[in-house]
Amino acid sequence: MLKKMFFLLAVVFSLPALQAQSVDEILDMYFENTGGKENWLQLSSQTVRAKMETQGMEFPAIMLSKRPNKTKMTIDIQGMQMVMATDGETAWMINPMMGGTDAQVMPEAQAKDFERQKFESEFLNYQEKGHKVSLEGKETVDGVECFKIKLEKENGDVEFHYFDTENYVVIMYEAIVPEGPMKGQEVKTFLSDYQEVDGFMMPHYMESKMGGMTLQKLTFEQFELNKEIDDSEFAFPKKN
Amino acid sequence: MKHSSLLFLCWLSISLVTAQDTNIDYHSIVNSLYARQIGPAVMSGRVSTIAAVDSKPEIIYVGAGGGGVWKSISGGVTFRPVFDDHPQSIGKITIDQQNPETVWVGTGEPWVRNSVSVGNGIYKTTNGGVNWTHKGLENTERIGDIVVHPQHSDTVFVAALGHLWNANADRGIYRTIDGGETWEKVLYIDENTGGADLAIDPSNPDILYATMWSFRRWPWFFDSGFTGSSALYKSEDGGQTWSTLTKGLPEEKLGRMAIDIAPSNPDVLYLSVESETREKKGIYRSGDKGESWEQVSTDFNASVRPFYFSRLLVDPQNDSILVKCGFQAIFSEDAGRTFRPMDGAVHSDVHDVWIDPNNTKHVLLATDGGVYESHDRGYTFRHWSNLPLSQYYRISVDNHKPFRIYGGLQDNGSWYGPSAKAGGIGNGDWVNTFGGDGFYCFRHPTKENFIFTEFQGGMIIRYDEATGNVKWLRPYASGEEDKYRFNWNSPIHLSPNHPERIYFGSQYLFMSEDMGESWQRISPDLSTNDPEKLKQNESGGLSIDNSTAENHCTIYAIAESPKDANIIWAGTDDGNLQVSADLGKTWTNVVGNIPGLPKNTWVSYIEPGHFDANTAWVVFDGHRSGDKTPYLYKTTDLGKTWTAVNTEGIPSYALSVREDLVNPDLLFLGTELGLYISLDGGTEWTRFENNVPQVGIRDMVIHPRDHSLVLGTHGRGVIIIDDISPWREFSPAIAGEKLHFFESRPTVLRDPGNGGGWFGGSGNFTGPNPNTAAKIAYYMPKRHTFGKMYLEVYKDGELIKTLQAGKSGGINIVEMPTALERPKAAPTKNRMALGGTIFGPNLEAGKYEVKLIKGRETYNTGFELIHDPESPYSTEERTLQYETVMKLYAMTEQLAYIYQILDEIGGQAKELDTDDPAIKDLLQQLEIKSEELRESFVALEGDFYVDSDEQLRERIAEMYMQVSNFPGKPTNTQLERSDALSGEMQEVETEVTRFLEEELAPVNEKLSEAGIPIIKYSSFSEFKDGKLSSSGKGKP
Repeated sequence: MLKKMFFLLAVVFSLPALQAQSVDEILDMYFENTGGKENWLQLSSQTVRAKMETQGMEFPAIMLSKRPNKTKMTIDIQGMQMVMATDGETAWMINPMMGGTDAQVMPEAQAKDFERQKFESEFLNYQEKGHKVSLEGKETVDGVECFKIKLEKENGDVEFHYFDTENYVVIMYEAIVPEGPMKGQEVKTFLSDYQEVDGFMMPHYMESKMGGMTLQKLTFEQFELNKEIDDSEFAFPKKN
Repeated sequence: MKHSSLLFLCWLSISLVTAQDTNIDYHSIVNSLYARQIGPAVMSGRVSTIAAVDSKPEIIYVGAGGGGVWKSISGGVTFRPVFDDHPQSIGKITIDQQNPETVWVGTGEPWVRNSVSVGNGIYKTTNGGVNWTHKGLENTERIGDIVVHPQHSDTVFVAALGHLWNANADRGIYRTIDGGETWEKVLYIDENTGGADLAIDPSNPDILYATMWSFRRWPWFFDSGFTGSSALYKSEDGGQTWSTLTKGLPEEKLGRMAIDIAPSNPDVLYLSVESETREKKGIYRSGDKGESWEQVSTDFNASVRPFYFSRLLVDPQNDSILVKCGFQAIFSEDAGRTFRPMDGAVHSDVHDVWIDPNNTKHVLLATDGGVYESHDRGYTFRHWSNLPLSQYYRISVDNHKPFRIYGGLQDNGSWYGPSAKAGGIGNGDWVNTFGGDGFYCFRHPTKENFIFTEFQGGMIIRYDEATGNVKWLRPYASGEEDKYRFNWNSPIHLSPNHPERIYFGSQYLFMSEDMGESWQRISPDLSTNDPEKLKQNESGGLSIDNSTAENHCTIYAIAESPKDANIIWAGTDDGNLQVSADLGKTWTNVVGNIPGLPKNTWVSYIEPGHFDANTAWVVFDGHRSGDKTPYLYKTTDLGKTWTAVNTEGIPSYALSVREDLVNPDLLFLGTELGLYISLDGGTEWTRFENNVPQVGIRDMVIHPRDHSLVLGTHGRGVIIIDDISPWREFSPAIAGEKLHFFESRPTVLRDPGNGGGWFGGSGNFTGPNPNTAAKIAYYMPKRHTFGKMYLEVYKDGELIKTLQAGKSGGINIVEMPTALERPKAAPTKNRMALGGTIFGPNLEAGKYEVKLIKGRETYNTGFELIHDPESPYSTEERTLQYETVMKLYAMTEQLAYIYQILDEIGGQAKELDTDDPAIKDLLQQLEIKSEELRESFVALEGDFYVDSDEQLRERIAEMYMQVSNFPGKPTNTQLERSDALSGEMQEVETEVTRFLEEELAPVNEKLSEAGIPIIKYSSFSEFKDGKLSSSGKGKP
């Protein structure tokens, strides 16, 4: 009996290692382990309450996103609300630090950057999206052995995502700052505190670093999935 | 459940943790700390090559002799390093002007002075320096030139100088036609002759010119010309075949030559020639594509020190204008017949020049002291004081608060500067203690106005800061002695046991106990005294170069045991390791006892043990004989027997070693390509990568009071790792624990201080200060990926802060800010008032408890905050200040809360929709009243600058700023005014309470009766938490 159990354990444990031959198998395991590919494809919206820490200051934030490409982030800065949003067509913002409390269309470069965030994981049906994905070997990140997967997006952006070889979740990803004063610099984003939310494994903490120094910490305090969000939330507000 | 497989794997991996305990991930542990690079940049450092984009000359790349590649996109106003993951010795940078995002970097400096570093081939970026790909030529050691074909970007020619200190075949002219995937050696002379310079004909790129140079350096001698095979070559078939050009050139042994072609007239070429006969040296010109040459100048700078200065550049628009680099850069506007020197305010020793093709009066020079810019073709230059490329030979620290760092630099004298300064460590904070090339430099520990310093070849000097005068202290040989031989870097050593005792070394060891007024010789000649190696006055080959750089058979390292003042170690540049156990009465050369060490290997660093008098760690450096093995040896019996410390995997030679002052298993090894750390007594080494590039670490010192590791780098200035305690405390036993907190020392609260930089523009370097946060450091064997993990900080049982945890497998350091967040304040249009609440006050001194919550487990620790015990403010005074500040802090927030709820009430009153005219009227009055109330205590009119009003909010902010800015007792006026403001605050609160009770409450009753939602407002805790109340819908 004991022998049999040991055998089973050994099989289970070595199975992923054997399977980890191709990048698609790694991605399949990732989706399987974090909620199932079909469920991910059916996810319609996310409402996330978060705490954002940057340069020693903390701000509460709410992030709304809705399939296929609507996003809105609201940050409370000392009682003033900063908003960045897109309804998929117009990216807009309210920045009380610069330009007051009226909504403004985002400058083109910033809008392009903002719209890079997609509702759905870029790895879901990546071929259909025109992305290329390749396995670049194994590397240790944060003391964890990871598969290094290169993502070449159809727009030319290149990112590297590191999947834990034991559990197949993303430990870290690297991206190049595409616009702004830090353009060209590499940002590493570390993901942790994965917890189950309605059957999905969601990271509850993300920390972005540049050159070893922390740029931003995001703690996700609450996820609400598939909640109805009115499209008007994302639309550029018309003046009354 | 879909994720059951994952949960199973989690369980499995947790159960396997214990099995993996022995497998310590040293890389994660070592790289859990972070270094700060503090400069200095005021004197900058040696720049070997410079390049800019023709079409966008504001995009500039600077390559340093030892400090990597720096890029500016602002015409030199600001720079950032872009090559920190690769060797920092740069030979040549060439931009593909057709595709300026493509840049080639050849590593290994070609200006082959005694202290030059090494490279490892060629690199290419195709995205403006974001990523670099190694493109081969690994073993060339140094690259003199790179030329990109003007039409075919994938065709590139490289002049590889090859090894400086030994023969090797990886040198000559290389060509790639596939963008660096493959290389063909298209011109090769022999294993002693390398490619020095290249020129390509822009009108017919099949025509190329190359200068080949035969050269060799030994530790004691340099030979330019060497085997006699230096020559000028030309190819007319794209590098396939080459022939020598000789007509008009000296028919004798040649040395290093620089060549350039006039872009505006490719028939014209200039060549600087090093040859045997003094009169034949100089600049030659050809007007027929190199077929024949005519000497046009014998200017001193046309031929001075060709191994160090061999670059010339023809003006892109005018074939009669050229610049030759030299001791000084010289400018000719008449085809080389006459030259004028550059602006005398520029640092001597010019290695490269760039001329703006769009405006050829705009010139950049790369010198031993950084980069200079001229807009008038060299008459006047401005220094770019923003490149921290300083090349330290040696460093030391003192016990000042904050401690200061002393050291000497390649061609940039000796300096000291602070390790911290309000507003950052700026250029103006560095103090020069002497000139020349600087080496050892330290403040005397008891006579604090004395700074000992030196310049090359044994010129020891005592600088008295009290008077500003310098006293020269060099010992001289008496009649019967051999002339004293001092190394380029003559060692000065301060006794760790007797502060009045100073050692100094030539071939003999000297000791002084009277501040260098007199010297006692305490050794015989400790070197091999080999006459073959004492020919420095003949050194140089075709150009005699007797600068003391080739002085040999000298003492290079001195160290007294901190455990026994009678034990002195002395190591020589010719490979003797001598030890005396009786303060120099008798000496034993123990180098013969060292197994596996090649004979005559340079002793570069001696670290006597801090725990045992018979222990010593010694670094030997054979790179000057072509041996790049890192040699580190340890003895525990005063040199009778030695153990070779395993340095496998360390890619280049070692330069320095330090044993920790607390943990004998913690070792630091400075190598030519960065810092290596061992936590297990030298069995395993890990490179420290967090902000320490692959730069030569010539010296290191551990600050005994502040637990900092201070690195003296040869190209990136001073780098500090502020608190090495976690490494100290780490042991394999800790690795077996589920979670281990490291001990924390009390954190000193930083008083506000004054200053903080001025308006110097962006073009000045500022070094960062140490982080002042309290640190909670812990070790976890495995990364935290699943479940929550965070910290809670408590003061006297009350939760004051929640912090995110570090989740890495290895050491994590969580920073707890020692200041409160700034108070939440009501808006204002008064700029001064806004400024007043930008900073939060310090936390209270005392002990804090910390809970670390990881999944279902909780771990407890704590930290302590203290005031600087040496500050002049008493506890009572600080308490009074703290209480006053906190009172004003609370008033600021209370007022902000009142403002917010009035805003909420007014906003709802405005938005509520009703047909009932009575209610409508009530709501309108409520809106008006809430606005009146707000305006009664906040100044919301004005331009946020000079037209602004003042109300209670602004008066509180002003007092808050004043009181929080001084850590001691507030003035009586401030105390009285704070009380008065408190009274005003009371009045506002009374009025607001009345408003809520007597005006809002009745309206809400009416609303309720009418079935309309009542007007609500936030509680104080909701206001404090700043929870977004809606879904974040933006106001249109």
